[in-house]
Amino acid sequence: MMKIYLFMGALIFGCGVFGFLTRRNLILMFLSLELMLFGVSLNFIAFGNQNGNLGGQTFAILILTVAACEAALALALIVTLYRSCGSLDVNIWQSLRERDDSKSDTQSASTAPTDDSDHQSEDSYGDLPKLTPAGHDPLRFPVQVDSQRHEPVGLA
Amino acid sequence: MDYYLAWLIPLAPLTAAALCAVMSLMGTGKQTAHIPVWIALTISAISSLLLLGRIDVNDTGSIFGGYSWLEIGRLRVALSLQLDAISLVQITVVTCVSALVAFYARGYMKGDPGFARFFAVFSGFVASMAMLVLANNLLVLYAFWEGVGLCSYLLIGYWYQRPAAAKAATKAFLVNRIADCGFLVGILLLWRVVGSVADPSEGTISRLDFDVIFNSLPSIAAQYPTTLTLIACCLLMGAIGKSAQFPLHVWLPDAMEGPTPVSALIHAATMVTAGVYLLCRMSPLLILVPDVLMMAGWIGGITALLAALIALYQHDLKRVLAYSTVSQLGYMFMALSCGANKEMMSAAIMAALFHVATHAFFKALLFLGAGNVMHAMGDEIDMRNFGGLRRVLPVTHVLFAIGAAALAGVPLLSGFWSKDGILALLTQMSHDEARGGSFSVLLWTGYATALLTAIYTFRAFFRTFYGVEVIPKSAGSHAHEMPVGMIWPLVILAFGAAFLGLGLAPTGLLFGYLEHIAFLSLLQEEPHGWSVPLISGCLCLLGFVAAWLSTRPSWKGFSLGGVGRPFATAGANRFYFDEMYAFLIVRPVEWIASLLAEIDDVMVDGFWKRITRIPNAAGKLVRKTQSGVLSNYAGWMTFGVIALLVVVLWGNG
Amino acid sequence: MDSFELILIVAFSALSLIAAIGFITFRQPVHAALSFAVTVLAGSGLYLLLDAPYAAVATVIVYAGATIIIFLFALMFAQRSTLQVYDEKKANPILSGIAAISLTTILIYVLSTASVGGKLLSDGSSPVPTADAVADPVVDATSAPRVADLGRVMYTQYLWAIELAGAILLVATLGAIHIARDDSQADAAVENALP
Repeated sequence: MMKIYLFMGALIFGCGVFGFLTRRNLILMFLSLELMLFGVSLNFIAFGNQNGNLGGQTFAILILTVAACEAALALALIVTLYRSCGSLDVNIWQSLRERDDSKSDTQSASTAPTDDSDHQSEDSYGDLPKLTPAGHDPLRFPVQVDSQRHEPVGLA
Repeated sequence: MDYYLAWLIPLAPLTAAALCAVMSLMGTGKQTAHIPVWIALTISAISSLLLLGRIDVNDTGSIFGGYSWLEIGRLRVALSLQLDAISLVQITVVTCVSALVAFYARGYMKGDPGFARFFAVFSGFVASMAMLVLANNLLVLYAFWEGVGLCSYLLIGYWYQRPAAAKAATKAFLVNRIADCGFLVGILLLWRVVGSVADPSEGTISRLDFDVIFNSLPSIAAQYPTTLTLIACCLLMGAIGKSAQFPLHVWLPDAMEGPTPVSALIHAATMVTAGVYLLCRMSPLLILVPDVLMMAGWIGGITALLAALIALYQHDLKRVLAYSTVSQLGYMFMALSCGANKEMMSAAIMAALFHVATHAFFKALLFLGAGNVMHAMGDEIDMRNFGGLRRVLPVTHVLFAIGAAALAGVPLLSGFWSKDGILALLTQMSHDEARGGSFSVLLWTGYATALLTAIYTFRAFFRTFYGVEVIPKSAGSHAHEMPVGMIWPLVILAFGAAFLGLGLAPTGLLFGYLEHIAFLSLLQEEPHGWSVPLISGCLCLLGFVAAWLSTRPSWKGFSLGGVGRPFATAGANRFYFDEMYAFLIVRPVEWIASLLAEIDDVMVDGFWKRITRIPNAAGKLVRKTQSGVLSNYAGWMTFGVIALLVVVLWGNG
Repeated sequence: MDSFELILIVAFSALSLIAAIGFITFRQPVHAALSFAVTVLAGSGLYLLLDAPYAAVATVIVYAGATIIIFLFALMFAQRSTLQVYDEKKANPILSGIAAISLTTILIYVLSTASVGGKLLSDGSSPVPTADAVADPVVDATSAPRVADLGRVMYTQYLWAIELAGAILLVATLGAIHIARDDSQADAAVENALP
């Protein structure tokens, strides 16, 4: 019989995981987080009951507390995000993205304000520092760099 | 006392060089850099003159140990000086002529921004040359051989912004490099061979001390005869390169791009005689391989004739003198080849060194005279652009005349004595040997070259100083006689050119000095006939007349009336040696170099570039996980947790 | 009472599970939130069956009460009237399904086979205090713990934790207020208030 309680906790947790991974609505993603926490606290109570311990219940109450705090803060953040963008879609916020040549795969119609990173081709590495040619005083004869081949041009 | 005098000879110019180098780096010394060099070279000259009298030069002379650089176990490297007859004669010539040219060079190089640099390298050259001559060890000699090569490069390319000068300097260095490779191979072979027969308790480097080498020669000749021949050939190669003999003569005419004092000192009087000096030094080894000496003689003969022919068709006064130098060096090689008969080696050395000494004086005189002409004509040296300068440059005219007469072998001047010494030796050798035939041919080559020498020398002289007075525009206000500072060194050289021969040969001074050279048979008095001086005198006169005729307007140049015109053109083009080398050697080497560069770029560099693409590709792959989409991150985290759980739970079986 | 208890367990579990599945399936956000509430309520029933009355009531009040109310208010605030694009389709359903199912499977497997001190974790035997269990001197070990006992344990043994939880609540409150503040009007008000 204990098994049922434990399995229920695991199942609810699994539902929470699935919900978190599949939902695109920010609020519902946080709600599935809450579901995960609920499953875990159910397991805690079951273990506490089995061991005749009150620690399980205490911990479940602590989980409750923390979950409530987290919900409050999360919703505050969501409200702020909604204010700046007008949508609850989680895929808008992609500024941690690595610069990539291909488009993002789950881009929605509205775009969030992202910072502009310079898009360059793969092989050129931008303005890397260059050594002056040997025997050449760089202060008296500043080196001009050939922009095409990124090599110093002759001797100034 | 002798010890200090001996070490003063190389060390004084070295100190002056260091001082001038510092001055050049600091940017000062544009008017004063000549003073340390003057003082140092005068000290060296006086020291060598003093030592000439003081040292007993019988047998091996005196050996002055000096700086002991390394003593590690069996490795003992020490710098020591050997003063015997050969080295004293050579060093006296070198230091005296260097001092005089230094005095001249101050006036010539006045106003040049690199004044201090010039004197630094000039003095460095004299120091290296002195150490080369006085070295007691073949390896030390080689080190300073390279040293003079370096100074020669620096001085030929003194005006380095001129592309012609830079190229000429590189050419000189590279051609000498080819010869020096051979020289080094010879040294290494000698080292090995001496090591295998010598006492193993000797230090390693001191195996190459001259007395050690010469003492082990009998055992070497017994055990390794072929190696000995090879060594001699390699040493000869080094001498050919440094003394600009055929086929490595191509660098000397181009070396005229340097300032005239440099040409006078290095490429006439001192450095190019280093090859002859080397052969004199190694003469105990060379007498064991007479075939190599014969080869040297043939090379000398071919060079003498070839260079004389080319000099006949040159328009540039300095080029004429350069080819004349090459030709006279051929004479010295011919003289040394007479050592093929063992008994005659001392006589051969005497003849060669005598010619070195007299040649140094009159050639330096001629070059400095040409320098005066250049200075007066505003750096113009093409004889077609000026003429009839004896009114403009009267003193130079007289001094140049003395030098030209000495070169041509006018009787009683010094060139006459030394050249006749060589011709007499060749005559003697042509009589009494199995090799008599070869020596006869060499003798007739010598006579022909003497005739040609007279012709081209007087042709140049007449072209420059006689005829219609033509002063080019570039002369500007310079077309006047040089100041005293640029005249009195020439006067002293002229005295040497005129009277040195008289002073040394008929009086028997040189004979007495070189009588007992170490490891060689005693110098023998040869019978003096009248045939040789007579013939050479006639040839000189013939040359004079021919040259005088050539200044007539009706003379069409030395082309024998149209028939020899292709020959004349070839001569003016230096017989196309440079073009041939460019085609046969330079082009293929450049092709190989570009091929290798291509391989390096594509395969070696390309290989590494391809390897760098791997992390790039891997990075691109991994970058896809950083999509910025929260759900993806959560998914990766979940999979990570699953993997972790699997590993923890079932990882240990 | 075993069979009745069993029926209750099964009923509550089934309800909870159905509601959880409903939560992850509903497209309308409000519907999903409400089924979340039902899940929690059924879960509280399970708490009751596990002799944790205080936890059950607290969960109902806080989770199914306050938290859901907050979420519903936020939904009302941010939700458009029509169904949005991002609510229509699920993102990566297959991969997420695989992840969730495998994770759940592993958890169930562990929970069923793991054992501590020779005794299976999922053993449903009557509560016997193990050697590590805290012995409360007042309470009789065989009787079921009561809320008073819970209170005593919370405020003696787990005092630090409780106080820290209180501190967290305070900080979270202040933080939430600060984050969600609309600054423009507030600053203007402050500006006008100053002389």
